[in-house]
Amino acid sequence: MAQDGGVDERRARFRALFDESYQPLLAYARRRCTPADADDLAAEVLTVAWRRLDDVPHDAALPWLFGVAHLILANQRRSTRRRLALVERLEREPSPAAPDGDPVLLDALARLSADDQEDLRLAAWEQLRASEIAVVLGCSGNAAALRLSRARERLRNAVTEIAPSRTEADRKDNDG
Amino acid sequence: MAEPPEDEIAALRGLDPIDPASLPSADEPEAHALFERITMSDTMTEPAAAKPRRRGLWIGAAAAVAVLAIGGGVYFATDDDDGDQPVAADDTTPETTDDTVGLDPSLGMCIAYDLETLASNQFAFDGTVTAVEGDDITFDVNEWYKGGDADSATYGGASGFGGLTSESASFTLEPGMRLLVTGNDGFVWSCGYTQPYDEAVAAEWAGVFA
Repeated sequence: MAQDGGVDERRARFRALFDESYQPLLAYARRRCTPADADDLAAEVLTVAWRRLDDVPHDAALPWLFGVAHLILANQRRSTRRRLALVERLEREPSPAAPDGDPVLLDALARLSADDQEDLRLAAWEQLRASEIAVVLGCSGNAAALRLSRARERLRNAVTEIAPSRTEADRKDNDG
Repeated sequence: MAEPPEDEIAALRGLDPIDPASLPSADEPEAHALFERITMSDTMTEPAAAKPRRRGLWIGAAAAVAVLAIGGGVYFATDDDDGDQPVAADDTTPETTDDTVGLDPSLGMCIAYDLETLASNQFAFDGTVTAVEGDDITFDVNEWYKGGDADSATYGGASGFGGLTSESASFTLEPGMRLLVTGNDGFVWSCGYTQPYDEAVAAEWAGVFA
């Protein structure tokens, strides 16, 4: 792969990218992995970025890095699924959430597909716009916007479905 | 009936389990150490430069070989090889205490599977293994995505499979196995690129090479 500039320039460019992305990348990883795996994932992504520095888009570096992480995780899950003894353990999408978050919303989120959950997490937790989510997922901006819109709609529907039963359950608990 | 939140995205932020500000910053010593480890590694990852891995090079001599990561391919060079070859298997290789959980320990030796790299490969197809002879694999091609139009094709790279270096390629090639196959320079890539056929992945590949 062609390398632009000298070693010092390249290192300086990576330094800037590293400084800008280290913490948000670590946050991305820890939202989706155990802490130990998250650190490994962040390191792996940054290593890819160093090796492919010329491919990192200047105007969307962080979404590009999230995209690399997304692919590594997808690849890993694909690989893991082949290991039959581990299926049940790792088929579970890592979906940590704040323990004091809205339980209805948390329940609703958990009922969505993995793709919907990821779209919503990228928008809410990584605070990405649809055009940036498109970079992460490797799709068009329009496709990302559509995915996100549909995910939001399904989340709304899930909340609407859950809330009455939750209210009834709470009432029974209180009565009991 | 409870009303759904007016702004789902804003509401979901309340579920965020991570406060980024609480995480180590790039100024922390561990981040500095990571930066140094990464930048001390070589940057050459050109997939087209991949060389075939030859089983005879590493059996019984694992300690004497340097593992070179070249794109999705993996090849090994002895200490006698040119000293300027990159060594990409560095400390950033993910480690897991439980080899059944966590990131692929081989990731440091393989470029991560991504569609951009896949798209740059010279050939890709949906094929069924008909024979494995030495390092050669012969396929009946069910559908070409890129790089050919024959009903069958033979490529090198069989030694890249078998789980010795990559969990992503831990399956053993057997006649009758249907795979999504890709590679360069006459060699099939392992490392998670060539993989057992999956309908969804096949559709994704079809899109990549459309």
